[in-house]
This record gives sequence, structure tokens and C-alpha cells, in this order.
Amino acid sequence: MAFASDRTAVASRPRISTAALRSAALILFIALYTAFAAGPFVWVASMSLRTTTEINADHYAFPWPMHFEKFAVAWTESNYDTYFFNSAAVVLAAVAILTVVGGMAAHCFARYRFPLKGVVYFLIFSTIIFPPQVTVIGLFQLMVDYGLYNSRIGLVLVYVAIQLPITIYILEAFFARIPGDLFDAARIDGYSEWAIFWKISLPVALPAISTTIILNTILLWNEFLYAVVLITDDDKRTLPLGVLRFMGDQLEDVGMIATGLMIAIVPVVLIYVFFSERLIQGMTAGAVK
Amino acid sequence: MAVVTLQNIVKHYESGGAPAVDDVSFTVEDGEFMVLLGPSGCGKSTTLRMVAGLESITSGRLAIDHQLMNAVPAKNRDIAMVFQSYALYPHMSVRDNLGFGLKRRHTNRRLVRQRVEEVAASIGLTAYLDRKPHALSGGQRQRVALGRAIVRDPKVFLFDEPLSNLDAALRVSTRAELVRLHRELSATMIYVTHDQVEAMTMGDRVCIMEHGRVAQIGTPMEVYLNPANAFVAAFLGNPPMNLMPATADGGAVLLGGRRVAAVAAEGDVLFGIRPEDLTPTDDARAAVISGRVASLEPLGAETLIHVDRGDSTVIVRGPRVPSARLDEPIHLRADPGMIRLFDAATGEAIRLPEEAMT
Amino acid sequence: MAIPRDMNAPATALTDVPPARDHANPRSAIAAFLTPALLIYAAFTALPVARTFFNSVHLVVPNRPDEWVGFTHYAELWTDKIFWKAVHNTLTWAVAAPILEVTIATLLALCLYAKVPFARFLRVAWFTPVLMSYVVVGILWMWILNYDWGALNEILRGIGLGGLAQPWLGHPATALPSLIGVTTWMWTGFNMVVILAAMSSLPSEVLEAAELDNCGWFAKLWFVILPLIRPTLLNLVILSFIGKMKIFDLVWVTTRGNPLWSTETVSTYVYKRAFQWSEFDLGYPSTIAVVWFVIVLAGVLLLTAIFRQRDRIEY
Ligand SMILES: Nc1ncnc2c1ncn2[C@@H]1O[C@H](COP(=O)(O)OP(=O)(O)O)[C@@H](O)[C@H]1O
Ligand SMILES: [Mg+2]
Repeated sequence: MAFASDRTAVASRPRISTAALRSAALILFIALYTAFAAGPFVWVASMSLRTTTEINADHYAFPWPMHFEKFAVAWTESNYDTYFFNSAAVVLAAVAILTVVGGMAAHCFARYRFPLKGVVYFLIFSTIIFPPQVTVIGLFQLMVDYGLYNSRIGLVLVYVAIQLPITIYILEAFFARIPGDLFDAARIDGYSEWAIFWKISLPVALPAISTTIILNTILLWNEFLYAVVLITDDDKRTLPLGVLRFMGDQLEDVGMIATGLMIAIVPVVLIYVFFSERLIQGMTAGAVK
Repeated sequence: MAVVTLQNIVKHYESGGAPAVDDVSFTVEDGEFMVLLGPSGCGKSTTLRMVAGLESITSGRLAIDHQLMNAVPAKNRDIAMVFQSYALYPHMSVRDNLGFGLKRRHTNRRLVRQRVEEVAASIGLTAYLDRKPHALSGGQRQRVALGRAIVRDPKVFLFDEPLSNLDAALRVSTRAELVRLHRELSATMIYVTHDQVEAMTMGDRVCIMEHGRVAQIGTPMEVYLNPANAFVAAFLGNPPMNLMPATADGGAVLLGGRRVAAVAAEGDVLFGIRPEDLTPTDDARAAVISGRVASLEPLGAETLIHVDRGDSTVIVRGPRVPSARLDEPIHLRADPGMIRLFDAATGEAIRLPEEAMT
Repeated sequence: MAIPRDMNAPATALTDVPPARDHANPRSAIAAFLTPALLIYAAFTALPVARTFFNSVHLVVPNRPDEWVGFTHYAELWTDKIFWKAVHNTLTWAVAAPILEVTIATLLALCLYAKVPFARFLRVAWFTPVLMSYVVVGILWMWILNYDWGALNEILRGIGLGGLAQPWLGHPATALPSLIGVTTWMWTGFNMVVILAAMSSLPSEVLEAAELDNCGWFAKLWFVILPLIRPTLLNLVILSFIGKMKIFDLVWVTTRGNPLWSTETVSTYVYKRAFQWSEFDLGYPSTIAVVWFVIVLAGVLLLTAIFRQRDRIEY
């Protein structure tokens, strides 16, 4: 109602001004939100290139001169090389295992019929809504029992477990769309089920595979809770733990902390720059209906 | 080359459900082109896939070259199959598609390459060897699918409606090419189709299926001329055989009150006659069927005359310019040697004595 | 004529048929493909969950056999004020954040849907915050919310609202709302992308039909677009709800539940009771986890039920 009267009132005035007004409001809103969304990132990037003394003088000045050497300092003197290497190794290993193990399971769910398939599927997927609290304590005890507590291999396996359901979910949906005749043709061409998985399923599903690889890489790169519960040695810490430890030790050294943050952010941003569409696709795969 | 034997083959997809294939038995001789023909859903593909080893056999025996195959997986059966969808590997070039099966068997890359190029040349694919399937036309894809089977030189070729995704003209030429191929390779082939023209023109023998069962097996002419039952009679031919309810009194068949054939049977029967075996006649007393011309369908080479008999319609294949006039009465004579009778209850053919006519 | 020939099938074919083998679904292959995933699932998901449930009715202290205590922990939980404070905080978060995120995201998606220039760039830019870890986001926002030189207070002072400047994370009244703002900052772009995708995949005939019906843009939004993307919105709300019910990292990095438990979440409380307070009993925190698991489950079911029911009434 109010809307309709609004319209009639507007009609008497010149049209251009309302249209212009509306688009100006729209652009203002968009600009404000863009500043809000991207501003913090720009700020931390600028601080990562400034010394703490400079920052304390003015927190919002342009980073000039740029102190790229801060990255070298963080890298060598604050153990970031170790953290970075640990993160890279753990994430790479976990993503590789996830791709193969998740791919195998997804292939199985998409291609074969077997007893209790529905039950197994449900069991694996129900864990998507589990709060991590319900696994983390038992996991802590079991990792001690397994001898995997405070070990990077243990962390890799846990990472595989937490990303497995969503990986299977994305891959299964894609595998199910590959026509079954393709697999029958390969069987007739003389290939075993295992060979078919490697030579047909995985290559044909490459778009979905790369989506899960990118998604898993980013989510695990950022993972914190399981790492903080399962890792205690400083030389086994991943980047998020390392960043936090550094902040705990050097609370006032804002400049160096910002450099540390950038070291954690840059790989993600690089992946995002090259694969933004694929990554968005992966991140949103579970939510689009 | 090989003999394929199916013995009492049964397939249940769901245990307890209706069988998709029910007690199918036949033998495909060495070098024979056997066509499985039937309406959609009658179990042709299922039968073929059981021969291929893609589906397991619920009961019955399958032998290739007298060796029991039931438990042998597809990859060890040495057969090749062409799918309706072609099933080309989308991530491989034509060359790799053709060579994929060979590579599994032979390690010698040079031999594989040579064989692939040889086959590609024989079916005119040489120019496309390095393309991916998505860059090929439908006809070219079909050729790749065919080449992929040929290249392997398998014991048995299986085809599951390989032409049904082609346009009409391409279908005719590929049909001829398949026949030529069969003659050249003299290989054992089993060919599934729902298209009776393909069956009639290509098959050494045709196996007609209905509801998972074999309705009749024979040469194309045998099954066309002597259908074993009313289903085959009504399925084959375009238009199919006219079937009219009639009664038999132990000595003769009565159709609309007329004695139309001598037969030993008694009870309700179906009187069958093909449209081309009916001819219009002026002599009402010599006629087997009388009625009114309900419609005329000129097809160019011939005209189909639809005759309304009151309780049923009969189709007659007439000359290009028929003498029949719309809505006028018409009398039809039947070629006595071509009359077929079927049991009205079971649909089975009733044998007529050779000299059968009044 | 064909039948007698088949009866003469070669004798070799008449040997007994071996037990049936499912060629389409070979058991050995299924087992091989599924086993690794199932082993990992069993060892690192199913067993830990079972262990947590087991813990919840035991006293679990190092170097002593677990002692059965029945439902003592559950009874204790009932009167644990901090726990209920944590539940209250987490639920507030889990209810407020999805509403904020999805509403703002819908508005943003509409902006981009209305063919604004640079839409592709904006979509990519707005999505960025979700790519950063909670650790990075936490530290960053501690600075932004810093009393002396944080960006928020600087802006407030800059526009003459210096009186509103606060130690945002240091005050019990503003700490939780500030953190809710942080998650909204982080997740709105993500929600926007999903909503935009859903809008873009709407059949254009529907919108054209609405055009013909002479709908204004608001009516089009309210009566056509929103009802059509309702399943997506529901999904996003549930996803956000689940995410906030889990929230740990952000709180741990920024406030650790302070001040005065005003930002304590169930996750941080479990973590403190299990690994921080020198209590050495894993039984009680496990009980919290189990109860929390039940609450999350109930919440998800409730949300689904509410939306389903409204669907049934409207259509
Ligand atoms: N994978 C399957 N699962 C269950 N039923 C099937 C399957 N494949 C085919 N059927 C059923 O078996 C019957 C025969 O199918 P099919 O052999 O494909 O027929 P045709 O190839 O003659 O059209 C049909 O009723 C079909 O629904
Ligand atoms: Mg078929």
C-alpha cells in the first residue's frame, strides 16, 4: 500500500532524479559493503609491510617504504618456516589421501548397488552436522591409544576423517552423472574395476576432483581446533597454531604479527586468484539446492 | 570365431520380482548374425548384457565356444560391444578410444598403433584420430564405437541398438556397412534392435522376444511368413498382419459366417492374413472379407485401404491407384496359401493342412 | 525348429553352474573401494563419538581405570551455571547470525542480480573473508575493535560519535554482539554467492510472467523470487546455524570466553574443562558434548520442521 502511494507521489516529479537517486543509493551501499568486506584485508596487508614503530606512529598510513624483509625475518627467526612446512605437508598429504579414499568411496556409492548402502551413506553423512565437541574428546583419548597423539601423521588422518563426508558428497554427485555405459565399455575392453576407477572415473570427473582438492586445501589450511587439541610440540605446529603462539608471545609487536598473518593468508589468496570460480563452486556445493 | 549358447537363461533384477528375461534358449552359430528383436522393455538388452558379462545370470547356462561363461567377468570373455550411446571415453582422443582395449591386452605399443591406424583407415576415421569425441558428429562417433569393437578382433560382437541415434539416411547406409562388415569378418554377431527393418535386412536369423521370453526364432522370411504365434504376426510387417476373431467347428473356420479355411481345430481362433495377400474383388461370393472402405492412405508406391468390417478394421495393400472408392462397399479375396490361424486363447499358430481351401 | 538344436547344446556347457556372481556389482570391488573410507570413518569418527558417549557416564582420570558414575555428570550439568551461560551465548549466536547473514546476503545478491557494473568482481571480492581462518580473522578483528587505535573507534571518532567508542571486546555487554558481527562479516559474502546462484538459476519464464503481471520489483522479490529460493535460504540458515553451534576458534583467539563468561560458548567451555582446567576428568566435558550434540540435533530438526510446515501451509 505504502509502496503504491510512494509511486504515485514520485510520478509527478521528473523521472530521472528518482532513478539517479536510486542508483546512487545502490552504488553507495555497494561501495560501503565492499570497503567493509575488503578493508580489513587491505589494512593487514599494509601493516605487514610496516615496522611496529611505524605502525604505532600511525596505524593507517600508506606502507612506505615497504619492508619486505619482515617476511624473511618472520620466516627465519620466528619459526614460520617450520609452521609453514608443517601446514603444507599435513594439508598436502591429507588432500591426497582424501582425493583417493573419498574418490573410491564416491565411485562405489555412485556405481554399485549393495546391501545396507543407504545405511552406510546415512552414517557417513550424518557426521556433517555433528558438533566437533562430540568427537574431539574421544578422539584425543584414542589418538593417545593409537600412539598418534602429537604426531603429524595422526593429524593428517584426522583431517582426512573430518573432510571425508563432504568430499564423498561432492564427488558422488558428479560420478553419478557419468553414464554407466562408459564403465561397461571399459569392462568389455578388458579393464578391472580398479583400473576403471583410475582410468575412467577420476579423469572424467576431473572438474569435481579439482573442486574438492581446492576446497579441502583451504579448509584444512585454516583448521585450528583439532590441531590445537592434538599437537603440542612447537616444531609440529601448523600455521594457525604458530600465528597464535607468536601473538601470545609478542602481543605488542603488531607489525610482526601482521606479517605472520600474511604468511598464512597468501597461499589461500593465491589459490583464490587462480581458481576463484572453482573454489566458490566447492565452498557452496553443499548449500545450493 | 565362436558359438554362443544360451540355455534356459533367467534374469531377475529384484529377487521375487517379475523376471526381465525368462527361460531364454538359443544358439548363435559360428559366424552367424543373430538379431534380437522385440518391443522396448522385452528384455533384449538384458539378454545381451548377460552374454557380455555385464549382468549376472540368475539361472541357466551361457557358453561361448562350449565353455561355461556364467562366472567369467566381462573383461575375460573376449567379446566386444557397441552401445546405443556409443559410450566413447570423453577424455581420450579417437586414437586412444580405439586403442584402449588393445593396450590392456598387448604391451607392444607399435603393434597397437599399427592396428588402430589400420582399422581407422578401413572405416574412414584416419583424419579424426587426434580429435576428442565431443568434436565429432553423431555418425563419426558411431564409427568410432564400431571401430573400437573391430580393432579388438573379438570372438563375438554385441550390438545394442547401435543405429538408433542416427538420422534416417545415415541409418540406411550404416546398415549396409554393417552387413558388409559381417561378411568380411565372418564373425559371430548378436544384434539387438526394436526396428524390424534392421532385423529383416541384416539378420541371418531373428529371435523375437516378448515379455522376457522367446516368441520365435528363425530366418527373417520364416518368421515373416510363418509366425509362430499371434504376437509375432502382429509385431512384424508394416502394417502388420490382419488378425480377426473367427470360430472353428472342427472342420472349417468360419469368419463372419463364411467358411474361409479347412482346419481340424475347434473353438475360437484368430484368422490372420497379411495386407499384401488380400485383393479387392467384384465377386462377393468368392470374397473372404467384405466391408466398407473407411479410408485410403496413398504412400506413393502403393495405397493402404482401410476396410471397416463392423467389429474390426482390415488393412489391404492396394496398387498405387486403387479402384476402391471411399465409403463404398468392398469385397476382399485372400491368397489361400497365405492364410494363418492362431488359437484365440493361447495365440499359438494352428497348422493348416496344405490343401486347405473352400 | 530352433528348440531342438538348443537341447543339443554341447556337453561341456552342461557341467554344474558355479554359484552366481554379480557381474554388475562385484562384491570384492565394492569391499575394496569402501574399506579405506570405512576404516578411517570408524577409527577417527565413529569410535571417538562412541568413546565420548562412554566417557559421559564415567569418571575418566589419567592412570586410573574409568569409573562408572551413572548419570552424576548429567545431574551436575543441570546445575552448572557456566554451562547454561555458554548455552545461552551459543544459542544467541546461532539464532542471530543466520538471520543477519542471510538477510544482508539476500540484499547484496539482489544488488548484483540487478546487473550492477563490476558484478563479477564484487562477487569475488565479497566472498574473500570466508577464505581466512578464524585465527587470522580473530586477530584482525581484535585490532579493528581495539579501544585506542582500532578502526571502528577511529571511524566513530572521525564522524563525531566518539562518545560511542568502546573497548568492544572488553565489555560484557558488547563482546558477544561484536563477535556476532565478526562472523557476519565473514560469512555474508558466502551466503550472497549461494543466493545469487539460486536466483540466477530461476527459470526466466517465471520472472517474465511476473513482469507481465505488472509486478513492482518489491512484489516480484517478495512473491516470486523469495518463495522460489526458499529451499536455498533454508539450507543456508541451517548451515549457518550448525556452524555457529560449533564455534570455537574465533572465541579462543579473541576473548577465551571473557569478560565474565559473556562470550563463553559450549565449545570453549568443553575445551577448557577437558584440556585447560587442571581437573583431569574427561567424563564431565564429554557429558557436555553429548548434551550439546542432542541440542544441535534437535535444533536442526526443529528448523527443518518449521520451514517444512510453512511450506505446506503456503502451497
Ligand atoms: N538395472 C535394472 N534394474 C532393474 N530393472 C531393470 C534394469 N534394467 C532393465 N530392467 C527391466 O528389465 C526389463 C527389460 O529391460 P531391457 O532388457 O532393457 O529391455 P529392452 O532392451 O528390450 O528394451 C524392463 O522391464 C526393465 O524395466
Ligand atoms: Mg534396450
